[in-house]
Amino acid sequence: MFEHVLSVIIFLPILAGLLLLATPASRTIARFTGLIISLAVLVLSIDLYAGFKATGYLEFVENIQWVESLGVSYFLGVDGISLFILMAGSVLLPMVYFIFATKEKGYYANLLIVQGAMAGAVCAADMVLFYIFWEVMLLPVFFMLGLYGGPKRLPATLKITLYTIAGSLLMLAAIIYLGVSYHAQFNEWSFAMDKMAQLNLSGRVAAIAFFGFMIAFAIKIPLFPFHTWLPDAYTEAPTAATFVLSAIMAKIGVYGVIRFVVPVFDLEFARFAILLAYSGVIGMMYCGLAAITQKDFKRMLAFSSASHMGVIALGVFCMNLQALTGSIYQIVAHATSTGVLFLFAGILEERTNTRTIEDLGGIAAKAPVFAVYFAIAMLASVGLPGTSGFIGEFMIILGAVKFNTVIGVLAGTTLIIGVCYMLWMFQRVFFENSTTRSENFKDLSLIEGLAFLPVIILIIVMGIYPHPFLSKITPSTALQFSQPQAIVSHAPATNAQDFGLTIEQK
Amino acid sequence: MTNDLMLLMPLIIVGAGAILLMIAATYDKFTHELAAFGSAGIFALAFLVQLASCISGNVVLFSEAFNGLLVVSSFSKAAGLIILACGFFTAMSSLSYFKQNSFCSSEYYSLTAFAASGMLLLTMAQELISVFIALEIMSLAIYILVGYDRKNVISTEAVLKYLMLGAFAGAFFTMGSAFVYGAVGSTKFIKIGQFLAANGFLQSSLMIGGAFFILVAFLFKAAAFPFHAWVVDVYDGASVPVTGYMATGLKTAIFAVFANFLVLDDTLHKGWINYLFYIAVFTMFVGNLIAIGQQSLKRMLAASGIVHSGYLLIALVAVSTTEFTGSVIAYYLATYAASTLGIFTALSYLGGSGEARKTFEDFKGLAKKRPYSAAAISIFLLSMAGIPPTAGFMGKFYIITSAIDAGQVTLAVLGIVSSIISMWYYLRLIINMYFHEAEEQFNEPVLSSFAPVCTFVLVICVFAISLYPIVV
Amino acid sequence: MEQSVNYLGLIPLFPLMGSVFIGLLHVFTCNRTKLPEKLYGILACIGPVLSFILALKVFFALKGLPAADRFLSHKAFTWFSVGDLHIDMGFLADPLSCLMLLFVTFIGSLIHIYSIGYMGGDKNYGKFFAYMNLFLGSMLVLVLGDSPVVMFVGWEGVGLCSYLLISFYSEDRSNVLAGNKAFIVNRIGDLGFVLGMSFLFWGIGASGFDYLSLKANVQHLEPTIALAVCLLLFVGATGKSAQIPLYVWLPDAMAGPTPVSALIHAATMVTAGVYMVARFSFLYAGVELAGSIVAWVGILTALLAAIFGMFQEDIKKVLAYSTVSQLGYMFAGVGVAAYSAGIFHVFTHAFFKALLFLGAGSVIYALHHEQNIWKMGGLKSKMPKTYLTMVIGAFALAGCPPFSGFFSKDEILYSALATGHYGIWAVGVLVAGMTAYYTFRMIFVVFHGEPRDKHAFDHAHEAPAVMTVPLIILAVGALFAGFLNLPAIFGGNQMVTHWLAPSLTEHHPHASVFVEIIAIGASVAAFAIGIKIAYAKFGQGAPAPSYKGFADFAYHKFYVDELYNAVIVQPYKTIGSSIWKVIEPNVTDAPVQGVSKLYMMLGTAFKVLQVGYVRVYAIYMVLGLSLMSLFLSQSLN
Repeated sequence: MFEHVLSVIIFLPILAGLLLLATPASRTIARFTGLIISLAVLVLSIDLYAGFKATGYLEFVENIQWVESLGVSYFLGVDGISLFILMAGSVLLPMVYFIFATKEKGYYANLLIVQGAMAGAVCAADMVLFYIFWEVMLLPVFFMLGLYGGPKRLPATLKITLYTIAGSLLMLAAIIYLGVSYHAQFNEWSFAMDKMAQLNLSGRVAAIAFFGFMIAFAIKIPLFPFHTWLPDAYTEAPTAATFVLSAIMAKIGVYGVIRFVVPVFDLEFARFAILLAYSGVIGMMYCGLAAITQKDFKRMLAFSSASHMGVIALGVFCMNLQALTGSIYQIVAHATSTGVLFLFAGILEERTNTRTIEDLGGIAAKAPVFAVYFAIAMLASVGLPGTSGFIGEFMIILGAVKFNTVIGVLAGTTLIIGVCYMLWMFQRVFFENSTTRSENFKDLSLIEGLAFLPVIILIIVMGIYPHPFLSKITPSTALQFSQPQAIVSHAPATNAQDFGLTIEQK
Repeated sequence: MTNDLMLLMPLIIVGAGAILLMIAATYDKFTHELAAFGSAGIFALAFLVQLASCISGNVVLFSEAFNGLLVVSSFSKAAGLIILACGFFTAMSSLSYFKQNSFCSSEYYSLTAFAASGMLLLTMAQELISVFIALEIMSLAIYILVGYDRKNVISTEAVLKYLMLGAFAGAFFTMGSAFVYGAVGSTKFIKIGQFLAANGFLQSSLMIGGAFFILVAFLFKAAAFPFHAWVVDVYDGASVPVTGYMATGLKTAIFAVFANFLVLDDTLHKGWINYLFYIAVFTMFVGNLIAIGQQSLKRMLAASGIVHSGYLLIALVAVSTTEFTGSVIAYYLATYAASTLGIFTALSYLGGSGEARKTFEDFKGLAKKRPYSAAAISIFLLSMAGIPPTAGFMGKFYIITSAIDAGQVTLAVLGIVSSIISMWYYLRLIINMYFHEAEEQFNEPVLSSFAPVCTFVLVICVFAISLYPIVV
Repeated sequence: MEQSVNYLGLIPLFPLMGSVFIGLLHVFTCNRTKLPEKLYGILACIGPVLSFILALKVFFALKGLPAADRFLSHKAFTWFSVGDLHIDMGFLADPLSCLMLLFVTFIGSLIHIYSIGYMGGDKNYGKFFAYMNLFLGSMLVLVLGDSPVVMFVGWEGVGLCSYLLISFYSEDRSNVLAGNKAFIVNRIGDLGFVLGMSFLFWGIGASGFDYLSLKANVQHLEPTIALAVCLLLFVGATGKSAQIPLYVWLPDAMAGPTPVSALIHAATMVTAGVYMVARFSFLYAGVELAGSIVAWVGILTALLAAIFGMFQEDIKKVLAYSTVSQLGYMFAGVGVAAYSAGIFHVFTHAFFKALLFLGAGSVIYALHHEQNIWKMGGLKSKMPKTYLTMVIGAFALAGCPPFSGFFSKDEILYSALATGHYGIWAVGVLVAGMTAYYTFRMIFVVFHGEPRDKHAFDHAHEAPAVMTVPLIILAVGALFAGFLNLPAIFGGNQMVTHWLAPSLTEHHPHASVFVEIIAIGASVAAFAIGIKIAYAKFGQGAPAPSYKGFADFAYHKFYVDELYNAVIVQPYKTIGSSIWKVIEPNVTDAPVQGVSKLYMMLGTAFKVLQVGYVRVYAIYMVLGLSLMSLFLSQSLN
């Protein structure tokens, strides 16, 4: 355990990726570099995880002045909230190299870069640094989507890129606003996140800044109604990109809400929480309903992912400990379940050359191992007790019920909505009689089987014995509610009734 | 006195160099390659001298030369550095450019040097007449450079437009300075400043009128709305290196003098702030909307140049007249110059003979054939779009920060919005280069490796400037 | 008061481990070398049997304790703990769960043994047993869980298993659809359960969320919350235990293999709802309204199912509806706060219903998977063991004294009467008669009269011992289980009721002997009438009837499935597709589209403005200039 471990975790993949791009390396070399680097990162992160003290505050801090005149600094650190997103990335990404053997050099290189960038975004404790990584992590996705995507990739690429950048530029304005107002209030320049909590913001500009952040994150998450880029992007993107987008990048949106919006804009947040919660719930139902009619299983998974993100976001907006902790836990659970489902979808697509559900069938009989893995991931994503999916979902619903009964009940419907489309899909793809395309479907090879095994086991372990994980999260989440106790505690009570009022305010 | 000379040394070097080149050009043996190297050498030398004087950092911030006609400030030094760098890279890229295009003669390079000397003078001038002279030295050289390709109709048309409209601007400037002189009784900035401090801005209508005309002249040169229309055609007509030179060096000089004039006194700045606010907004949005529609790369870049003038105007709105350092403007100019020059340098060797490739479509699939050039261009574009971690982002970050800090939140947000709009046409080129199949082989040999090397250097600059933001 | 014993955790663990092991074996061998069925069979039976032995151990351990503190518990580990929410992976064995434990493991083991024979030759032999073990494990978690959340694990686990086992023959779409239906309908119930738990937690859960602490703090719960919790939990129960309005999945669930129908969809899982209500007796006892709602829903379900049962032609469907109907009785029992009676009926019902299903199974097995009773007939000579045992089962189900069913059902009806729920009692008696009718209708049609399908009849044969032995054992149970809770009037001392007393919150109504006699008399009379009619119609064998009018309506189950399909399923799909096809592009995404369109339009517009004529540009300049000077003059004065 050395003190610059975070920087290494961030920049090792990035540099490796750039190196691959700069050199005329062959695809096999690229793949193995990627594999080795990502495994190295995995080892480092496990070391990090082991060394994590769960004090609730930032650990492994690195703080170097960068732009003195504006107090921008190279400031890294992890706490219980960011740790798990970081871990999710480090644990899940190596699989991709095992599974997809025959891709271009750029595919692996971009994957490395995006891994590093996401780690950076999660570890950054300075807002400007965060913003930089936040933008950088989009570029590899842009290139992967545009270069290796499906037939209708170009419109999808443009849409996701412009949409996301539009959001994040608004966030930039908001970030600068925060920095400037910090300068105004404490007459020293700083963009450090932890200092922003001391700001007391009020008035229209604060509300605007609040929405500057919220919109940026809402687009990334994506929160209804900012999700419209998602179906095309997720469907057209190459599997790895979809996996990255759904498994980790979307989570960084939620992370951003927890990191910036909740501590800094406590007033506005308390005021608009009910609104956001509704948009989360509506998004969950909307996307869940849309999923049931999809012909294309990748698109169906895309909608299901959006639906789950609605629930996760809701957990943040409920403003109580159980819900928040639940959504952090659900972030990991969702990464391991839906993220992995996307990888399985990629395998299905590669082996049957189709994404249409009707063309498939009877795979369970052909490929039992694959079917079992898929079933476990699916059950986790519908939140079956005993899998990782249940814990988070249960806590979110629990918190939602406390926050606002109506929202709680609506949130509960995710139990039903989720299971409907999943069973529908599972029935047509895995049960019934095999079709011409799925007739000689090859089961997972030994390598693939072993590559997936850790995650599958993780799903079960996280469902049966979540306590060790939660005990690392809880201190940080508890801290979220310790400072602005006054507002947060009575906020739900107040804004639960005057929903109409908040509408007018908006 | 020696100190003064030391401070003016870069100017002297460039000016003398220009004259020498002009003389040398009369000998046939003195080919334009040699001239290119010569001018490059001059620029490099001047650059180093300037850099040296920057680093040595003369203790007093202001040091007058020629009793206040010229003032060398850290801001003017920074601007000078940028200009000299632009000159150097222009010379280098022209070298490669004229391997494929054959209308060059060695005078070309001396003209660039003359222009540069004009620009340098402009950054330091603190007196209206000398500003005017500097302006004309620069402009005349540029006129000729724009129309250098005599056989090319477009470029002759361009130079015509530029000359005529430029004449307008010159006229306005002289008129304005005459008014101001009438009001103040002096053309020195300091005197004007004192006058304003004493009487305030809105007292004498002469003053207002004069300042107004001067403002117009500057806005014209800076290609701000509503005096932007010429830019697109002129940039399109001029040959690639010249366009690059105009887009960067000229703009730097203009904004330097503009800032110097504007911060004379608080009242003056206040007086124009409302104008500048609207002009900045219009400039950004009009520039964007012009850029969207363009098919030709050069025209798009010209339009985006207008947009960037808009951002710089934001900075001008936000500058504080007390303890003015101009660091934000200088920094933004540097970032902008780096990325813009980069693109033009790349174009100068990718453009093909007679600038065959000029539209977006012509560059489809470049990434497959010329991955490194494509990557470089993408980086420059991203920098112009202000995507981190490129220099463009830091520049934009400074400008927005200064704007919000000066209480111009609306302006800042509008600036952000306009940069959202601008994303599209930058991405468009990247998409063309990467996501489409090549329609042609970009396989003509690169006759001179200078431009590619320069491009590479500039890529480094783009990152270096952002990672080590040396705020002047 | 409660003492910790560490082997409680093992009881569910054995079958679970068994299922994992068998599952792995199956997955890795199914497409290569087949393993011998014997191996699977033996492996499969180890888990249940071990659990049964441990269950006995638990029973005697409890017996050893004084009645007041018969609580064994085992906290395996902290499951999850966030703020006030602290859930242990804990198990609790009290008289109630012990009783469930005993018969679940016992019958479970029997059915495993039976399945060795029944599933013989199936290509997914291993998979079947993996699922069965998984089911038993989950069921045991459900029974032993010491907090609602742990119970919910089992609750959903059994749901999953029933899904997997219903769609076991997954090549046939209808089976899979039945499975989906079961899972989704159960999920609707589970929503109720989860919400109920949430309300309960925010009510009193902060200070311990396991049953004992809840029981301790229940008086702190506001009545409204308590009512809400009761009803929400009952919604869960209706899902799991197939009550109105969520009963629809159970009849379809008969698509699964018959042992599954016997174990899951008759004996154990479906009674989970009743068990849950009994578990929360401390809660329900406090809320009159909730109780009577439960009772009425139960008894109406009993009536409805009985009506359907009288007109079914598929032998398993008949039994399925009888199950639903009996479950109705149980809920009526727990609804009128006669928890012990309800649980006792669960207990007896497990025996005779499992018996009937397994009997039906061996008939089906004999006739090569023929399930239509109108293709059977006269089988009693061919398969006497099956006949005999099934008749015993039928008597028990029909509630003929002194068979087990009689005592338990009578207990419920008596309590209804004694607590003044006359309506419930009346309907109950009616249903008793109907039960007798359709049960013996089935018996007569299948076993008596002339064979209707000669060919099938000739190939019919008695099932092998591995199947008949369990039948016999169960038959014994069905005969004598009733005596365990012999009411005072028959000189018994209600052992089961007293045994359950510590873990249930109930006060026994003290009605006069007269009332008790009325109750008994009525149900006996009802039974007699029912069987009389059945004999009259089908005694000597009868042709397949053609239904019309009400009969036809009932034969089609009042078209409830069609109704649900029209009212819920189709609209759901329509909304989904309209969101995707209409709303998404035209509403949600419209702003984005609009912006991009506008943007392009403006772009082209401004391209036009760049005409390229120097004069035009000059005009722009002049215009701009004049505008600016206009503003200037404005700003001056």
